Amino acid sequence: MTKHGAAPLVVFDNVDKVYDGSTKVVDALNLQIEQGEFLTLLGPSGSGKTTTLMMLAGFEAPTRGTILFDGAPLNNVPTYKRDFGIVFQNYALFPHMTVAENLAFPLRMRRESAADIETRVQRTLGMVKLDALKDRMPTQLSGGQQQRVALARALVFEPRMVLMDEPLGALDKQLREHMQLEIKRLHEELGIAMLYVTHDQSEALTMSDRIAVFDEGRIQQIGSPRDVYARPQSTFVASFMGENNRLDGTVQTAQGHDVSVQITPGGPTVRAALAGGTVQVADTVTLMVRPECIRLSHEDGAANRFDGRIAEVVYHGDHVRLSLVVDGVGTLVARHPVSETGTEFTPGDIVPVSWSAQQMRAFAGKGPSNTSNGD
Amino acid sequence: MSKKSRISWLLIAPLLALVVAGFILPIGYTMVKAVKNPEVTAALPRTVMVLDAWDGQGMPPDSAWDALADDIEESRRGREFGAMTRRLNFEMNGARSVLMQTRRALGSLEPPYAQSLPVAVPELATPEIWQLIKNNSNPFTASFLLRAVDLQFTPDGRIEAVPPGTAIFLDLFKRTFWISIWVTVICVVLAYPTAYYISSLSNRAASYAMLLVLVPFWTSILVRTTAWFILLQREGPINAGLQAAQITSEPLQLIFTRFAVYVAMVHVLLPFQILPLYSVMKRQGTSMLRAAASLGAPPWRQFLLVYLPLTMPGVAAGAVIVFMLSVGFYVTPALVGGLQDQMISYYIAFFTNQSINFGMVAALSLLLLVFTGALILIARRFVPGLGSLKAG
Repeated sequence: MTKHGAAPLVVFDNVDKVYDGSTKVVDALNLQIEQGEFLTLLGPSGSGKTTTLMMLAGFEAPTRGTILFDGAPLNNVPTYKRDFGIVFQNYALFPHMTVAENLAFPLRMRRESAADIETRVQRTLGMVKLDALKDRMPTQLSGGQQQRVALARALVFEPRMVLMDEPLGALDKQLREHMQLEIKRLHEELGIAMLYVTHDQSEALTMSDRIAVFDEGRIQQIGSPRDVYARPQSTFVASFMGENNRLDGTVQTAQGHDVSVQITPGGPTVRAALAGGTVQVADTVTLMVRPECIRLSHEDGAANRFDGRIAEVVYHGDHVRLSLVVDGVGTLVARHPVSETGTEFTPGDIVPVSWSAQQMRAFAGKGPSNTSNGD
Repeated sequence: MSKKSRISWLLIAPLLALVVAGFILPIGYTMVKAVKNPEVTAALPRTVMVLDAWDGQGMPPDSAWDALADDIEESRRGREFGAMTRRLNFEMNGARSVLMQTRRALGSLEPPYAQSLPVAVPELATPEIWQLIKNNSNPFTASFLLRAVDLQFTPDGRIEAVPPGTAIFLDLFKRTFWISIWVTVICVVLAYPTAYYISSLSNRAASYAMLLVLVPFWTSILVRTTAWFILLQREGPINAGLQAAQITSEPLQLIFTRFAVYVAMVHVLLPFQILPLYSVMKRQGTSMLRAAASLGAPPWRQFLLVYLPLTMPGVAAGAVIVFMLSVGFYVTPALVGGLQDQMISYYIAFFTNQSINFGMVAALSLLLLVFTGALILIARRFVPGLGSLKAG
């Protein structure tokens, strides 16, 4: 929903955050949040994403650099004047106030009339489908209901922007997925810019207009969910965003983005697309291909075609996961939809295996070896 | 009884025994003691029986004189006589000496005593002493409780206010609660910012700051009070300092004043307010304040609308403890206060040690308990957080 041409809503201009004089949690951050955009900061814990949100919220001050909102610096604006709706990880509902009183709080702070407060509280409660619970105390609500109240409270005063810090972290999977859609719906209805912090990549993929992947205080990659998922720029992003098969090998030929790589000396070569930068023949590269990209047939146009021996089959309901041993290449995990096939897979069987060169990404140099991630 | 419930009873047995021995028995004993009145019946059983049939008007029948003489003769050997005279003297000043005089006179008198006794002891010729004996022949009496609120029985059994000069207890209760309320208020006012400050420190710094609170807490009350005694003396370091700084030209009267009582009591009781407040504040953290800030509340409204109500249980828990302890304070006012600063415990101790009147001791204690309970109940209605006390 990025509105091209419009001035960005928020600009982080070269922002550092240093704790205790030495720990740099945010490192020279440059980030723009567009009007009306849903931007997710995604990263492992300690990557600086929450600190970034806290600085925008005004709970933390940047050690260096400036944050601009609508072109004006925020540095000396206290939180209560920033007019951002914030949804906290623990919801932070006021336990001594009813649901309606919680929602009325920001309106009271803005000295709205009693009648106005009443209608807006009612309308917002309707928006999150909590009309019936307005006189309950927060402790009498379930986690999911509390989450909705927190969301409603952050929206009821029509803030200039909404910030959410892992708002769904405490909910169970089903409720979390439901709330993701709910938040997305609200975002589309209200058209308000939202900054969302999470470590859950599927959440980020579901909801965001853009995702900024954080690691070690820096943005590793920023782009649309499709972009970040399908075209990761680094092994970190590739392994953080979903599951990957990871192979290390040596470049045999390199033409533009097109590389062929040998995994084991004397073994077959595989074809891959360079994710960025340049490589020379004999350079070491890391290859990554997603399990769903590996086909159990010799597809036309697939540059990589091998035979694999099934080592393991795990049934997942809608799909099966197969561990395939390809001689000279290594063990690959394939994800195969169940509905598509009546075939039974048996360990020991030899099956055709193929994947396209475009779907196998080559990264220059050996990446960190422990970032394989199946979150 | 199933095996399981037998085991649970066994497990709570020590607690139950403690509650019975340490709480129910003493308080029950005190309640009974406050209304018990056995002395007269024990020492003068025959007289009591004769007076029972008397209507209390005019003089008692002649048989009463003989019964009194017999009873006194009989009680020469036991201790009942002394206890009885003390008891009657409490009700009517001078009764003790009349009865002592009677006992002395009986040694040389011959019956019929209705003739001989009034001559030897003219006070016995008036109905008052007989009415007194009759009125106190009931094994239970309200007179201690009445006296504890400055009321008394007249010889003919009506209730009236005690003469103004001897009415001390209502003032004493008022003073006790007044001092306690002020001590509580001062403790809350001092403890709130202190606890807030400590709760905002890093864990390491907070543990040092807590040590400063706890070390005095671990020191005996007597030691701390004595320290104030020394500090506040006429020639003590505070007066010396004030004079050295030329703020005052001569020593101030600090010791034996209400001021000294407040200073020492607040010092002794402050940790009881800080500790529960600190624990509530520590749990509170910053998330509620942050939420309030994000919703547009400036700092003072964050405090008034969110932080204060949420830390109120800590204020209430501490205030109740401080108030309860203040009400029963004895050593501190006794040491650093003047006569006008003594609290109810001082008189409970006085009746225990000096005048040996356990009825009064029990009545004052019981009323203290009742008044304190009533005050807490009233406070619960007006102080938010008191109703739902959550211990720190």
